[in-house]
Amino acid sequence: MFEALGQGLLANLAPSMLLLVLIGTLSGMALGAMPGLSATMGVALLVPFTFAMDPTPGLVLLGAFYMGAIYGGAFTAILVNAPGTPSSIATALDGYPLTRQGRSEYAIVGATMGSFVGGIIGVVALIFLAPPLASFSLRFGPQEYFWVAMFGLTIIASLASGSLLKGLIGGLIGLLIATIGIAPVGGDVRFTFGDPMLQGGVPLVPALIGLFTVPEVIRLIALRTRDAQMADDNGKKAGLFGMVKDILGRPVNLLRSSLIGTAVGILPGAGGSVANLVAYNEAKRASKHPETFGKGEIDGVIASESANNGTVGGGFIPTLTLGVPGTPPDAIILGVLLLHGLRPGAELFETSGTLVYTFILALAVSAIMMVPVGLIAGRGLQRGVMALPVRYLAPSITVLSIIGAYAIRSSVFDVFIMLALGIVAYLLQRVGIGGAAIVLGLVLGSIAETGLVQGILTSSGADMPWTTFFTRPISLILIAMCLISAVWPMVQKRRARKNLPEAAPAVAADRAEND
Amino acid sequence: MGNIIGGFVVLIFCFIFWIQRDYTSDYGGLFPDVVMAVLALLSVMLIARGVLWRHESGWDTTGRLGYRDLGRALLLLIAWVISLPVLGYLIGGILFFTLVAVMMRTERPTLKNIALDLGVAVAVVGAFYLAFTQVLYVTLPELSL
Repeated sequence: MFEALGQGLLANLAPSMLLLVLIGTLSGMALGAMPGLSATMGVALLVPFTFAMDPTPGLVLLGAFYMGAIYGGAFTAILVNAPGTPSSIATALDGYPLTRQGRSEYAIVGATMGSFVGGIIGVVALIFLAPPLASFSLRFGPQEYFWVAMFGLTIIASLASGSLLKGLIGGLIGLLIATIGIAPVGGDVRFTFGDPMLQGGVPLVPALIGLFTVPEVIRLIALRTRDAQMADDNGKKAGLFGMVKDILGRPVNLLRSSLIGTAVGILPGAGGSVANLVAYNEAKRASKHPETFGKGEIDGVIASESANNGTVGGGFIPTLTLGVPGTPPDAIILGVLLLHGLRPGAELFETSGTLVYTFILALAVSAIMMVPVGLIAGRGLQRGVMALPVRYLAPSITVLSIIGAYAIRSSVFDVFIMLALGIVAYLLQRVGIGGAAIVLGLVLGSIAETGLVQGILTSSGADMPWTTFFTRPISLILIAMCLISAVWPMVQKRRARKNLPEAAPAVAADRAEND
Repeated sequence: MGNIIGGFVVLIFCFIFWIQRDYTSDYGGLFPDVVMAVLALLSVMLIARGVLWRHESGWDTTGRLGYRDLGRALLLLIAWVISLPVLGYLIGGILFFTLVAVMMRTERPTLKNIALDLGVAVAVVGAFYLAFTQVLYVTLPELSL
């Protein structure tokens, strides 16, 4: 293993390979930053270009592109509240509030350093833990996937800062919207309102743009001004190294979120869209000041970005060892492997060790390159967006939103869906039902339904099939995690309330002493 | 009042989905029916909360917009999107980009300002058009008059 690893390292240090990684990372970042163009679509678009290449550079280019695309989604999430990819949903929750406070540069640096650490930890796990982790992931059945989705939904308890009831309503609206179209199991055509275009369901990216970006565009056009100021304007500007130091001074959050991303990436079908939300929730739960999340907390941005880049390495664990893709872009890269006659499994690491390790290490090189490239390009983009007069910013975001919603299926109908959901999201916000909870339900709906129905079908021989959801060992662990995650925000609130009357006299006494 | 209105809106949303139920397999309705039932229950709880705790407004007051400004913004966006199949991305984009930019000006627009906004619209919409159609090979809606 170490010999092949060494050869892989040498291959990566060749100037031509470094240039290839740089091109892949940069183009991935550019694509990821455009709402509507997902990492999956970008990797698929790139595949034909790699046909003429040897397997090693072809795979390296695809891997670097994938890593860059996942990171690039953070830019628009932070700057204009439009997550470039579903992996950046949670990045927008705190990234955009930071922009509104005039601290977008800080958020960009947080996203960059988080992505770097997440990417590296995912690759380290891929190198050293691939075989045992891959076999463990096979023990996850439909019941466990159902509970993984339920665990994701418990995040609503954290997201609903105002009212838990309204947060739950938002999540359930998302779950209900997710049932539109052909059922994932059984094939029933449901809730299409007679329109065949809805048979494919509500596409996630137009829905994301509608729920997050359109209400913001409505606000910008109506107000004719923006709240956000450039950091330079309000005198809060910290040096770049100061910001980097501050981000790296949060090792627990970086490490925990990266490990969550890697672990979620290993589970086939989950991927970055789930990982970023789970890591965000855990960061909030572990924080000493959870009330700042959703209002511009850098730990939220770091958690989301570390996790989604952690899924890149994590997702390749089952892909390369079992031939089971962890995430959709992994499936495309698996196809390229097969196209070159390379079969996943333990044999792949022995017969084509140099190629495999060159590819794996290229992911790490890409993560390292994201730091200078991201800091230069990301901050440049940030300054450009902030300098743009609001009368040009609002229509520019609208143009990008229309393209983003349209590009997925080349369908104007998807643009209508985006606008309709955007207007509904704006109106629901007026009564305190936020878009984030709806998105959460939308993302997790199909995973939850597939797990529930498949779980009941696979245990239909039992007297009470539903009891299998409560008797399997991994399910029990996940149920315990769900309960802790759901109850924890309430415990925190209660503690805070309890501490308040004790703290108040103490503060009063302090003041009296000072006076 | 916000809680009562919000609760009724969600209840209507549930009702619209409920009357669309038409399942052909045994398990097709298992998940959506449970979701609808719980959603309806929670919206009734929200209405009850609005009735019982009248001191709680239920409205989110942050960033509240005037009806006239909101109406203008919605009208512009709806017109832009509805015109897409007819005017296409390029012509519709330039037209509505310019319109939004001109209407967002706080001072009275002069001919020079309008020309500037039109120039920016051509540059931005045109740049995206070329990037998507020529580099990424994504086809965009075309003019169909």
